[in-house]
Amino acid sequence: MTRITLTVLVKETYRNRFSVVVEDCRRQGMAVEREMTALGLFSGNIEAEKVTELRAVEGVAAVEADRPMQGYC
Amino acid sequence: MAESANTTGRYIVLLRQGRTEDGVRDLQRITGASIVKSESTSDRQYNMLELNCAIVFDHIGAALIRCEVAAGSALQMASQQAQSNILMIEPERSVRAIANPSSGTAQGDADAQATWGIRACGADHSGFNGQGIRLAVLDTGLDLQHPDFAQRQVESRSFVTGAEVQDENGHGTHCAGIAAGILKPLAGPRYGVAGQAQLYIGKVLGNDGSGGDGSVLDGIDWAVGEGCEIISLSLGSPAKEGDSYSPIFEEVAKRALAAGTLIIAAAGNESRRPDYIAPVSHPANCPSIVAVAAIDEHMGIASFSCGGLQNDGGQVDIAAPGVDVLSSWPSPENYNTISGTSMATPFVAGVAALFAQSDPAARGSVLRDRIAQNARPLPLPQRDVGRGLVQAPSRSAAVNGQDMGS
Repeated sequence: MTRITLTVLVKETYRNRFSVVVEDCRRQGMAVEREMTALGLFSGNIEAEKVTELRAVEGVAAVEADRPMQGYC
Repeated sequence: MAESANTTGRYIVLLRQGRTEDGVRDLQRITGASIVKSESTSDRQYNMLELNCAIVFDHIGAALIRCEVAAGSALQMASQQAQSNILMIEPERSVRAIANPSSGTAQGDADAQATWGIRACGADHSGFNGQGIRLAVLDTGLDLQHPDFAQRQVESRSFVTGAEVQDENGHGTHCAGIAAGILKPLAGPRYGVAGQAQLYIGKVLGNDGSGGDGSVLDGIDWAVGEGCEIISLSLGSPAKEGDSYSPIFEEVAKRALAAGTLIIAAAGNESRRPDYIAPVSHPANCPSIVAVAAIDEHMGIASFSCGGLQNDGGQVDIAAPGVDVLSSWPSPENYNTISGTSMATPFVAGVAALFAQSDPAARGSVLRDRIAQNARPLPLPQRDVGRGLVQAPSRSAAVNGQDMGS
């Protein structure tokens, strides 16, 4: 099973229920690694075929797979 | 039209929008000056503009003229007439005389009091130093033992699993130095813009210089949570023409702005000019993130600097020094001169800290507008340099600053 690393953005209107959204995503099989409460985000990994279900979780605004980053010099 | 010791004897003339040709004709009629078009202007002509000559910048509808004071006054009178095609005239300030051959070169930086980049953005003549402003540099970390930083109180955190903040790459130390290096370094010229800003160093790229969205977002979250007014991102991921921006980074940038934090990011190095211009990279291509292009000391666009090929966030917002930039580097070298939009970005971040210090109301989108409003127009396409060269606030800017709608 391929797992992909991704970030989940919580809807503004659900930010006061942040931990509930995180738990619901865990239940869908997401291994949550970082919780970014100042901005309403969390990241981790999940089996690639379950990403669609993650997007359907109540309170999830967007899901994006991790892109590689590099310095620009 | 007051002139001072800080002016160059040349004048900037703003022409009526859409009436550039008529304005140039009026300029010639009033002053008798001969006209050179900017497209055919070499660096040398720009630097050595002769008396009674003017260079016209078609793209921005402005001209640079060297003329007698009487001719300058005549232009001033013309500008006050209704329906005049000459809208404004002002003495060129000496901070703009960076292309003058006598002002030094990157190679000559070692003998100068400040690097060409510091002089180009006017940080050496600003009354501000960033004191009281929290500025986050999210990169490969910092050489915490560097002689120019060892005495500074630096807040730091690593977001790279298994890696310490200590910078084993050099990129992060260089960027932090440009944004907030001390005013009097151990050796060489001044290279830092906001020497008294409170530095927040987030290590989001590994010592190999690479990372991912997750660690960068984690670093942004930390900086916003710490109340940083500015975040400098000298990093990114190449975008393809037609790519839309990341909805997550855009929303994050909006939430950051609402919290009073402005994110500034490198436009990217993927261009190979003149043959190929690459689009602004991710995440600089988000509408709510300031995208920074790189220029050289002759005010030319850097060959590698990405261009604003797309609307809706894909534009370049502003330009800053990004070629042959001297700054701090991990020991034992301590200093290094390198190039990139990575170098241009912390210049804008440092200048942002100066503006934030100059006005407590200048936060978030107000700060973004203030920086854009004060940029110095360049005779280059907006696609490449946006509003122009970033300029530090002068003491009077704090009093006169007015915000533009975004």
